[in-house]
Amino acid sequence: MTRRTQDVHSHRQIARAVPSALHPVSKRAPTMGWLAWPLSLQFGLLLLGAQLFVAAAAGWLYPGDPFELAGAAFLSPGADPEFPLGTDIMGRDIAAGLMHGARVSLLVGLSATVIATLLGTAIGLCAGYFGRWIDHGLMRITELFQVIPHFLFAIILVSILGARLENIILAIGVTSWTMVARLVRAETLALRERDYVKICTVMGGSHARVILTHILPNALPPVIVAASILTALAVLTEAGLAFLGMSDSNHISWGGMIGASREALLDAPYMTLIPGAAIVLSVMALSLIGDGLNQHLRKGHGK
Amino acid sequence: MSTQDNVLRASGVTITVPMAGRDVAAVRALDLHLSPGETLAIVGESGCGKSLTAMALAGLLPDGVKLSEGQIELLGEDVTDFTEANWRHRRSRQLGVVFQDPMSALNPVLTIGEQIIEAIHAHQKVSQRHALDEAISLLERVKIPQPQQCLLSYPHQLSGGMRQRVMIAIAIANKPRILIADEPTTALDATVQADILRLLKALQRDSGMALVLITHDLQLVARWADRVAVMYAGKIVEERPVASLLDEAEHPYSQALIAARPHRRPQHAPRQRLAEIPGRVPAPGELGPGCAYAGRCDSASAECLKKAPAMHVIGSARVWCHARTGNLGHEKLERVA
Amino acid sequence: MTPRDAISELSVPPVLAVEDLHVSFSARHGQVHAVQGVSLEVRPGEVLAVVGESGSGKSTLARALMGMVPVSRGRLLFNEAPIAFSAAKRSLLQRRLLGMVFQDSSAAFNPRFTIERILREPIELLGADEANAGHRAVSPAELLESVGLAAGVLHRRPHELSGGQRQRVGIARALAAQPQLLICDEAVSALDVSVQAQILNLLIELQTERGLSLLFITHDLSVVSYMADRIAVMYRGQLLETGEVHQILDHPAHAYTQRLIDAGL
Repeated sequence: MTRRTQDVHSHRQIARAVPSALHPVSKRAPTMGWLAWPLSLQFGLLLLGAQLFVAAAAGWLYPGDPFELAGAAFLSPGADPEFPLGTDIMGRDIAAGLMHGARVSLLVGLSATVIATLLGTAIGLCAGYFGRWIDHGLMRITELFQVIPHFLFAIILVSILGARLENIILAIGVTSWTMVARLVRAETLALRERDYVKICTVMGGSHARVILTHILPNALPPVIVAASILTALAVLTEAGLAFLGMSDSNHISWGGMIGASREALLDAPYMTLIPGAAIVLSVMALSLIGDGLNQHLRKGHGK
Repeated sequence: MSTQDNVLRASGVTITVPMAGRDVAAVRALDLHLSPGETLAIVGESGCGKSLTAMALAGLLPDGVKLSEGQIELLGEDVTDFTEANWRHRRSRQLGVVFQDPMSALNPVLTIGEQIIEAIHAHQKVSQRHALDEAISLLERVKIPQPQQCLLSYPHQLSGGMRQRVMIAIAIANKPRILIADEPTTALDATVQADILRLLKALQRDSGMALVLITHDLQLVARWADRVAVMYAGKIVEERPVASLLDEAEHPYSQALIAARPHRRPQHAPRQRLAEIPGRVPAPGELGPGCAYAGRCDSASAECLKKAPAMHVIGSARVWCHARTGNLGHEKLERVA
Repeated sequence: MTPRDAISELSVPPVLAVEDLHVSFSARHGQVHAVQGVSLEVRPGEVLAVVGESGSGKSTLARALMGMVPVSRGRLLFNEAPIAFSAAKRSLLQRRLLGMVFQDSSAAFNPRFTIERILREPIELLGADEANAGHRAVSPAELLESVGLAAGVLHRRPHELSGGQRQRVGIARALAAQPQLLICDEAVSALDVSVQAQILNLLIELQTERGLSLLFITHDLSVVSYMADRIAVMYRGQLLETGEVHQILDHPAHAYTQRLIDAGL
């Protein structure tokens, strides 16, 4: 047997040889708990946790209005101990903006993802389960939404509806559900053929029962992974919209801070770099979580 | 038969697997030998360690699973500590392996032809043309109709029986002296099963290849093997020529397995209940110092729980059992349910 | 035929009668005629084994009886009353008549359900949680007991059980609403010999206790020769021959049947 063909001998073959008694009797969480999770997941959660803490602490550490002209403009970070991260063009406290901005990106990111996931899951389940013309119709709608560039679509929606937080969340949610829909549809198509699903129908189970108790729970693992990636994308989209001036003027946003400091890009790069770094860390945290979840969930199923 | 003649020899082989942080012995103190042209069947139920044994003989133990004791000799050479590189040279040339599920052993994105030729080129420096001819002749030997078409096909386009034959073709491409087949026909229909085993026997006759056949099917063993080793909970409990297996099996487990098989019901009488074996197979970590089968055995005594039976020769068989070799103490055990 | 057979043939109608059943699927390269014109019957209290190789259509036949696959032509009669092909169109009473045990319990059970939930589902859906038509209400624990499993199993998930235990759960599930006919689709094929013996003994016990009829799909001729009262041989969607087990084993009418017997025994 050559190396190549031998490598292809799946782990299933070899796993089958190892006594089944070796596989843990109960699939409780591994006794080592969260320590056994993949590093990417641990690190990502840590970063996300830090962001959550920052968002929560914003009101306590910087109780005032972050848009307030708190001090002298163009203060470098560290120049004045009262403004550890300096001030921007107009004299707004960057640290205050950073902390309050964390709230917006978290809020928008998570809410938009919830909308996208709910919408995508519902559409994917119906398309995959009912098939035929329902599937056909829903998939053509999905393709329509997929074809329009997401960011442009979001810009158009926000322009029409007005730059308020709810509309931004809605716009991002409504333009990013297609990935989830396709994922869920694929899982549903496969799950629909399982014997335990068919026998539920045969025994008289209603469509709702079959979908909600059998298909949905088993289709979820890839959706959870997709959701974390979607959240990262939502954060980026919001930052982009804010940069272009389409943020809610009542709530400071990291993207907005970058946009507002555009003119000082070369003279005082810290004004754009600091919120920029925050965005990077936030998106990185979410991507790591998505990656780690993927590994973790696959480990549980792979046999 | 002198040990010099053995193409394969395992002595005192113990294989450990990682389990909850420790290394637990899944196969213990195994002794096996195989002569040229001989078919040895290793038979047992799930979890007895027969597949692990096959992997160890082929040098394919996965990470974490180790040969912690004992020795394996392949054609007179000690392969116990062989690295992957050593094995790569020997496998295919001296040792062919056939697995149970050809779909996972064949590369789905390569055609059959590419995979056979890859196997040939691994050990023979021949031209592409020559390898192609070889591949066709191999497929003919395994009785695949239209070999040229098969060469161009992908694994998913073939039936289960054809894929299994292709696996065998790949395994014998370099004319190995030994073939290890792990449940090669379990997934196949009975008629195809018979064809494949007939094919393997014919190959043996032609080239003197020795065959290690791993299976759970006693019927298969009785029909196609020369010698059989019965395994239970990681140990060989009985080893004998196949001709005497069904009628003269000595070990209580072998007897229980034979008795548990469904047999033809009588024509004008009610069915007889099938003989069940009470209890269950102990997991590798649950084994005590005595015989692993004692808890389920009709003939067990206190001695069986205390000391593992040593090998005894009874006629042409080797048996590991206190009860059959007169080693029982005076207290017969109440079988624990 | 013994006098006993003659009498039973006269007086009692078959539990299940299949008349000229056709099942076709459309596949990539045209129609696949999985079942072609099969007619057979299952008598009360008997074990009918359906044997054949892969591609013979025996599993498709079983699923068609359960109402799991679309049927293109034919008639299905239960206790001489016609029954719809699709399970959705069958009445509650009709759905309770049949139970099915699958070969591969990894696909037969929702991997996220506990055994209790798995058993509760047919109880609820088929109305076995209320006393009716002469049967008392039944609980998951009772179902487990009837197949020789302890109540502790209720809290486990399918992958935590051994193969034999899973098959017992499958049998318990199929029996939830006291069916008259149990369809076993290769129910013991994936089991070790000693576990297979336990499950076959269990099936026979249940059959005797409850007067069940069994439609036993298998490719294993030794199991057939032990379990079956009658055998039906299928090949490529068609029914080749049916007959009493000893008759078929000793004097098969078809050469193909003879080949099956030679290979299997």
